[in-house]
Amino acid sequence: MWKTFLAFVVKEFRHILRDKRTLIIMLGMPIALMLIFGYAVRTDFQEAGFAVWDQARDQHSQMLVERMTASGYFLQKATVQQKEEMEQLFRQGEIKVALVIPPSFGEMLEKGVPTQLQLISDGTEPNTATTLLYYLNSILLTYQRDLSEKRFGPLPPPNISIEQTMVYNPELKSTFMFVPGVITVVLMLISAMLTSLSIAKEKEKRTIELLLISPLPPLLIIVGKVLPYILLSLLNGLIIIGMGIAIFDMPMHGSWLFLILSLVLFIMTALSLGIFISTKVNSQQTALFASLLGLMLPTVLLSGYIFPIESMPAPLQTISNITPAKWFIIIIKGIMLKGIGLKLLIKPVTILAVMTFAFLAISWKNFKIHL
Amino acid sequence: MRSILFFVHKELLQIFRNKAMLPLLFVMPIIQLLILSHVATNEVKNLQLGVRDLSHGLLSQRLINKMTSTGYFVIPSDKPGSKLARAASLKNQREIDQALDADQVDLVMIIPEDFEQNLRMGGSTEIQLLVNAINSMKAGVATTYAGSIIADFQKELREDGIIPSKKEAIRLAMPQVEIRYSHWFNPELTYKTFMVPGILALLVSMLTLLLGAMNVVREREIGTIEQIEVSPVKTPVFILGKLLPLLLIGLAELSLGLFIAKVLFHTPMEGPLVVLYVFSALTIVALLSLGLLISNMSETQQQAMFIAWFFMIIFVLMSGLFTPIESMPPWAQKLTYINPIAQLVSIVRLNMLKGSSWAELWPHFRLMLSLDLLYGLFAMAMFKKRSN
Repeated sequence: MWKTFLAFVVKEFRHILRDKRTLIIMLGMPIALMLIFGYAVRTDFQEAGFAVWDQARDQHSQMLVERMTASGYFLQKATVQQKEEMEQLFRQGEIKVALVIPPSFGEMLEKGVPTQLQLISDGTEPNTATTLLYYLNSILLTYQRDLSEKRFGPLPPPNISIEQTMVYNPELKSTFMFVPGVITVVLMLISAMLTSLSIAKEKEKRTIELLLISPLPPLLIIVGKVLPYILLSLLNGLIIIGMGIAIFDMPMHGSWLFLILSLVLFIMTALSLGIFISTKVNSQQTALFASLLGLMLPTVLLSGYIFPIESMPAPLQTISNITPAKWFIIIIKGIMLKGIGLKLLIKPVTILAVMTFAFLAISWKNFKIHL
Repeated sequence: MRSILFFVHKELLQIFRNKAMLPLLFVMPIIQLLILSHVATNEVKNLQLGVRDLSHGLLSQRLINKMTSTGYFVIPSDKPGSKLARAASLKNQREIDQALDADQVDLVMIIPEDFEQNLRMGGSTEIQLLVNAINSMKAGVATTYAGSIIADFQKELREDGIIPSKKEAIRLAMPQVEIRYSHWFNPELTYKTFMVPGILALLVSMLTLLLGAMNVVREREIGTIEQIEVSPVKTPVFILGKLLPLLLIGLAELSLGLFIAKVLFHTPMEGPLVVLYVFSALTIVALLSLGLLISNMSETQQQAMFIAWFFMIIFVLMSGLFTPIESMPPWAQKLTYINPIAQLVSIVRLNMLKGSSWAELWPHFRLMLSLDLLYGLFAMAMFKKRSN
């Protein structure tokens, strides 16, 4: 029987290897994602467009605008004379903030009389608005401090100073977030989605009946079908981790054995999910949409890799507990960045293991020998 | 002309014959809008704060209270009885390390022994902040919050005279320029107002690209494409007949999404809806052409799905939906010109939230029309090549 099983696995491998396009994408996807996250997608701001309505036109107002540009956060797109022009620029999406400097701004500043500045932001992008206003605010404060130091000499030092230590990530790299995220998305895609599609395909084309009347028991048929995907997933996981370490300076503080074992565990969880979906659907299209809705969205959104879990409303925080990705991300960060072992990670590991068995058990019950 | 109508009718029948499709088409937008709009927030709040208070004084207690009263920081022991309670007050370095390792706290504040003594004498003291910086954005926000709370605390103490200081110094430290903020188009800075239109754009794009990519290849895989090839239906009719129903489905999806956005999220719709519909239709045509292209490149549905997914993930990540386009490097910003999803996301936001209309959006329309032409012609050419 083992010979038959081996032949079956070889057949499945040939199916995958014959399909060059899928194979290229399967191996190219993690690389493309890593490069996008590493080089293209950032959350810090650079050169946000701004407009100035300078009613003062004096030395101070010009200095202020110069400092904004020099900070690298802002790029002056226009000088406006009236409110309508500003509105127009916001509507075209050209600028994110506008600065209104009142007449006699410099004069008041020289005299030490309190004066006002108006900052207008594009409120439709709340994050951008608050961040940019924060930058602007600190540029202004520095400008004022420099001004009073020039006039009155050095200001008294603060009584309370702060010493910050950035634990685990002293250089504040964003790599540490996206490497675990990319692994989960890619593995979910290959292990869960492709498995469910490949079984759904056999069902759709009715070739599964041929398989079921073959001398192999149904369990081995499923194992044989998913085995190539396990290997491909493992390969992909290692490519991503390797790229993370080699190109993006991701540290590896923990044990490699533990890391690879948990990678296998997560692949098993994803596969069991894929098998579960395939027992429920009859066509590839349904399998696709079910995996999209049931797997990819929760993986990307609820796992805490793009959006922080603690900011979500309570019901969604609860739901996030049933997404395998969340627990795997905790494990992988723990091993690679913190270098902690099984003792502190026993909870997520157990949860993933229990999920895997649960999905396999349900699928086993649902799996019909006759169609 | 009549044959197109028949074809469209046949296509719609075929799509909706699959019992699972209809619920998916209508359930997906609702779930996506409901979940995504709640999830997709980058606001950072409820940071878990651990404290090692060596000073045990009134002032350190006052600082801790001030930190937690803002809502940004929570001390885990606020929930009595939870096993996190231990994490709140940390006794030694080992406990600090453990609390950070186990993710029980996001940051630890260490208040030195001579904190109160030094401050009351007008001297200086140093607070240590240990921040879990794996999420660099969160860590940055956390230190900013903590820094401004501590600066405020110091100002308070000076004003109360607890820290002895000269009147002049207080006056000098006061800012002379008052900054007045106003947030146009969304004065309350509601995050949902920002996300819902973007998600709407994502929804329509995702659906049409996937449906487009899976459609023709399905006929090829089942083998029914040969029947069409021997039928009198001409290629343009075939393509139009394939794309029109999907365009209709995409626009129906948009309408459903707009309805949900209006009723459940009270999303403003400042601009003329007709602009939104026309632009969405143009985007859908571009996406469907891309889908057709993918369909032509693939042998099986599985392959088509996979290729479509690959492009979709890249399109979505680089669309400015989750991360601002301005913060991408120049080469990546240029790529948004050929990315239909990026265009749609920005237009939907501009139109719904700021009321941008034909005049302001004309450059975008011109761009999208050329994308339609580009992708459409390319898909046609590939299609002809294949059927020969």
